[in-house]
Amino acid sequence: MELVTPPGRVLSKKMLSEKLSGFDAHLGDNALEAFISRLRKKLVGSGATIRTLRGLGYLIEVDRVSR
Amino acid sequence: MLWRVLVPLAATWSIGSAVAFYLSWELAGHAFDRAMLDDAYVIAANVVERDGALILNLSEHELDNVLFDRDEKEYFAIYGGDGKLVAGTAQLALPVVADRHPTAFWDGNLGGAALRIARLNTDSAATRPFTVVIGQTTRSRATLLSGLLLRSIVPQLALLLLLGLYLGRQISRELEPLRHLNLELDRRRSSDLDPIDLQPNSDDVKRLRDAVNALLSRIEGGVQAQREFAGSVAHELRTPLAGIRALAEYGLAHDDATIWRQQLQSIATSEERASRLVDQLLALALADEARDSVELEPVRVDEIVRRTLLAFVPRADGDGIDLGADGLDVATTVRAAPVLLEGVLTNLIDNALRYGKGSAPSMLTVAVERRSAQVDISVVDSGPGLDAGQRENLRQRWTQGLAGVRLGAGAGLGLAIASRYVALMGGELLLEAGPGGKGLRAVVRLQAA
Repeated sequence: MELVTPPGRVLSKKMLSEKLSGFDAHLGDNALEAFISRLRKKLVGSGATIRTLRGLGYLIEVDRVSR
Repeated sequence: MLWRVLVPLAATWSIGSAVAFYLSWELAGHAFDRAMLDDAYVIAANVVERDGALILNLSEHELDNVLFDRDEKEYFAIYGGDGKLVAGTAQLALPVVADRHPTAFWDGNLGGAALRIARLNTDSAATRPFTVVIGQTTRSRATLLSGLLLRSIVPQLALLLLLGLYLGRQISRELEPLRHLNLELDRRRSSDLDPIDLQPNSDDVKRLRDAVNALLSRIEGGVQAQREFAGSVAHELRTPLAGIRALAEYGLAHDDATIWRQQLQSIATSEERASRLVDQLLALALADEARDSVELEPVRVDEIVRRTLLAFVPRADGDGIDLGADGLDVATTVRAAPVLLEGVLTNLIDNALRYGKGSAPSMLTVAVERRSAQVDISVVDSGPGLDAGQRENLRQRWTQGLAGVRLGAGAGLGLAIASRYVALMGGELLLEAGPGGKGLRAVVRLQAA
């Protein structure tokens, strides 16, 4: 997944949309947000969270306490 | 100085005096000669031919009257055309070389006494040709010579002496301020750039003093700018160096080689930025002299804002500030120098983070907004902001360039540098109150490309 490699990298909505569009036709903002939301739910309890940087993009953060 | 004036003066004066003296001596000599010739004519007029022989038809007494002179002794001789003495003193000989000219003068002597001699050849129909020679002692001429010398040269020498004294005094008085200036400059330490206190006694000296003082003032301005530039460099380097140290400390606190690698990577990146910053600051220092040295090119402002903001994420997290952006979805291009633009953003964000800390809620937003031919990049914080007076104060300091940058002025320094960078890119930096009158909104306005 784009979000995980490389870890700690911030991905903008645009970049994500372009990457994901390859196998899911064109991805709109709403679709992307829904996708992130689903991803967040799946990550609950995994020790990693998806952080939103206002206007910049998304960032996967590893919860340091759980490591 | 005095000698350079006096020597040519004395030389000119000597030549002038010698010429004048020679001319008057010559003229006086002519007058004396003319008087002698008159006597010769009188004698010649009284030579008659009697019984085929030339005789002088003058009594002893008449002759004394003709030859009378108060100071001089006068001799005469009359020679016939055959060269035989008719009357007079035989020692007054005819010149050896024959001369067709009716009159002639020459210097001779009689019994050891110097004589001036005049000769007159007569060529009248009444008598046979004969020659009258008149000799006269030169006492009067010698007296005249010494008189001339005494009356003209001595007063002139005295005048020359007086003139020399006057010139000497005047020149040393004129040069006194220069001597003073010399002393003053000799005594100066290299750090003392105060204007020279000099009372000018002429326009030339005043101009010299003003020129020296203007130079001192320019040097002082340069020294001041350099000093302040050094301060700016220190200030600018503190932030990246502190960042590098924080990265290193974080790495040292962990045993994980992956973290070490990460931190080293970040350290290398930060150092690279710091080095570029140093280069840019040096370029900025030169910017005062070469404002045209900055080359502008089309720059993707959204990319630079993103990159710069992301570098601040860890620090904003640590400070509990919500860092965000607006308008980065659209590719926006401006005319700028990438490193300068990054420097502006770094300064403004650094400033906003420092002053926005502790306010609740703490937000920092960088927005990129295109407005026809211009692009506004605004950094908005939720800190205490600046009142109108403070903003105006800052703006005035910026207009002075590097010289306006004062050390220890805190935020003003970062803002001043940002303003300077923006000016170098042909843009302007505006300071406004944030939304709802809270915080500070710093707007970088650049030309769109």
